Amino acid sequence: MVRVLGLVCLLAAPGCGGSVAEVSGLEAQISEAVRTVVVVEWKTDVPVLGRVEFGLGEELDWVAVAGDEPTREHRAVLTGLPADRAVSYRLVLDDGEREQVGDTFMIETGSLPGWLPRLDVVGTDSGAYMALPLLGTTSAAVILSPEGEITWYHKDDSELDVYRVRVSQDGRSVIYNAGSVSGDPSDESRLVRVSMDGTSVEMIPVELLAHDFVEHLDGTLGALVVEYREVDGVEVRGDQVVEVDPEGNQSVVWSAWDCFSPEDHPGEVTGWTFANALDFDSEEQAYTVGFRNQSSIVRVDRASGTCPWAIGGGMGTVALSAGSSPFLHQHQFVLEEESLLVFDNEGSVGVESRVIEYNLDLEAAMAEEIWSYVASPPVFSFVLGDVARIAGGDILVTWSAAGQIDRVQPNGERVWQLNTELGHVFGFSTVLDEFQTGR
Amino acid sequence: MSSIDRVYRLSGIALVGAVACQAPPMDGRLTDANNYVFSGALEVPSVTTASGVDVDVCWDGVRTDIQCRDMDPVADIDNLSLVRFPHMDQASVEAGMSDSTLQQADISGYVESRTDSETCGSLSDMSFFGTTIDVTEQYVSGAGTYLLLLTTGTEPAVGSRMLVFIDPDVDSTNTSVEVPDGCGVLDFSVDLKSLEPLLLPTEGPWVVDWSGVTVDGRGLSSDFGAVDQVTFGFYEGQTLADLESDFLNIESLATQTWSATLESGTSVDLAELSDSMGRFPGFEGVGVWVLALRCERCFNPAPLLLTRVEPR
Repeated sequence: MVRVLGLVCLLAAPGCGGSVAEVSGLEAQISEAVRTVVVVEWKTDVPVLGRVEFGLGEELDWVAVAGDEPTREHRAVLTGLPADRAVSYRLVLDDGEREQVGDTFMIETGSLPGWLPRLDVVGTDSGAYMALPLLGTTSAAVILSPEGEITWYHKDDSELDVYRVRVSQDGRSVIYNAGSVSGDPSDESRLVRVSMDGTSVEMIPVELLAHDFVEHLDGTLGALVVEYREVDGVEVRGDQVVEVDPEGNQSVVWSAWDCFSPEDHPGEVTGWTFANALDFDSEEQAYTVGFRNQSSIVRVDRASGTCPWAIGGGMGTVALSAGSSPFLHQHQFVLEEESLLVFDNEGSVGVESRVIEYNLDLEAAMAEEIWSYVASPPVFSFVLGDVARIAGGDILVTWSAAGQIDRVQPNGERVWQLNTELGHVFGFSTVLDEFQTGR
Repeated sequence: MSSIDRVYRLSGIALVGAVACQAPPMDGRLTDANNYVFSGALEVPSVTTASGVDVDVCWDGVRTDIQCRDMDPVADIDNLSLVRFPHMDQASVEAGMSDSTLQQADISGYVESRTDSETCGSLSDMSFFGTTIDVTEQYVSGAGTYLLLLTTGTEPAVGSRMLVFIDPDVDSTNTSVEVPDGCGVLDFSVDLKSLEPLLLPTEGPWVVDWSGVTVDGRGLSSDFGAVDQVTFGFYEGQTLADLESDFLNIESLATQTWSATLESGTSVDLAELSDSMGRFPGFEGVGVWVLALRCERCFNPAPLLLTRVEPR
């Protein structure tokens, strides 16, 4: 649907003493590539800052900024909207001294494509927007609203799988990895950057990508990459961290061989380390890497390449206190100041996965189990799996292979749940704290 | 169709209705009353095997699929997969498949292997995301219900041609499964006579809108956003009874069909449907006209909506 409204006279805010600018060519359009995204464009007769206030129904509680500098040509991309919903929007102009608020208009978002899965939700909301991959029947990147509705989507038509989806630091694009962790890694793997309106797709080839990547504050991308080395005539599959700077230059910043050796820490049939999870601490300039086949989570100093500590499995330097249970073949984790939340795929008894939390005392090199959660009925995610703590303290658990996400309170009560239909699973989930300004 | 178009269309309907005094609408708007009635149940065969051992699976004898269509066990089967439902019995799984209510969380394991033109495989050949299964631990009695699927294509849960439960039993020594024919797995009945036909003007326009349909042919609340295939068929000289009696072959019974793949939306202009000869040219000939809305990627192959179209 397109609404071309032509010349629009804005109403000056009371006491403004005249209009900030005259607007022409206001046009709101549903993006053909992502039919839940509205693109608003307009012109002004003088350079000003512009933004669009918008919301569902008659609400106007969200904001999309149209550029950082005063300009005559403005473009704002309205995101976070579910399909087939009425959306109100209005322009706000700012010349640095005054603000001018325009009339309110409405537009209806488009329908979702049929290839997206049905999502069944129980409960009010998850508490956060989430970016996450779809695998299985469809390989795609999506963004879910707190209510569990798909608000953004991009289908990956390569033969690769998507494991991690992030919204870029500048909020203008979605980045995901497309690779293969099923069997051998792919030479054709890449990081993919898609504009918010879905019309621009940039490929960043990175061979042998593994499960995860991060984005630094300056836009540098750090990714897990499989690394093969010959050891005593035998090819050993390890991992490294490769960075892609904002100019596109790639460099290896760390290798598992920098801290460990297969002789001291033997692997499994699928490889030595099988790195499957990556986090980055920008304050300490340190990576944290999860190794499935070692059942270990390792801290890596980015500058020196040293590994100051590790927890779990054979690589662990942090001991578990008596009565604390270890994790096994874990995937994603959350490292906080004094705690570590781990998605533990196989550490629990029986065919079930769990989330386990440890109190972490790095000075004493000790960890103590303080919390765990098993879904009811139990869920087994034999691959992938993620966990996140959201504002307020609740925990989001992504049982990836089961296509289920739970919002759990610290007392273990599940207050929200989302399920996919059969045939669709999730990759890692990324909580988007500031995806929707004003919400 | 945009919502603006829809507003105008609705206004027009009200006006025509007032003037023509109950004349049947020919606005292309489908309702639940237009939909067929389909009742069907899956009766999936079950084979008991030994527990905690590898099992060989062969399908070289499968000549018909679950829709009783002829099939080639080599050319038509691309993937063999095994699904475990930890908390459901066989009857619940059958009901879930029939009603399309199965969720990914209902399963606790999915492994697969490409057939590569072979007609036999084994459980130990299967894997998912590089993870193989240890059959001695994962295929055991009491751990749930196991369903084998033979599919055309390799997308999980899509394109199922034949299904069979395998049931590990500690008292069994059987380590091989011969997948049987698919005819009879789907027990069904269909009613095409009771529905209200969709009336369309012979000369057009032929825009069909299903945004007002809420339940599928099984009477279940359904996601019509999942419609990804629209088919319009002409059955020259055939009756509704003919179609009902051979419903599983309704596509091949058609004299001519025009179709379109749908990315999204809840309406389509029949004039945009096509076959190998080109676009739908209009209502020509005497016979039955049938419109079907399908979800090709859904587990249940039955059309979400199927109705008769009568040109006036």
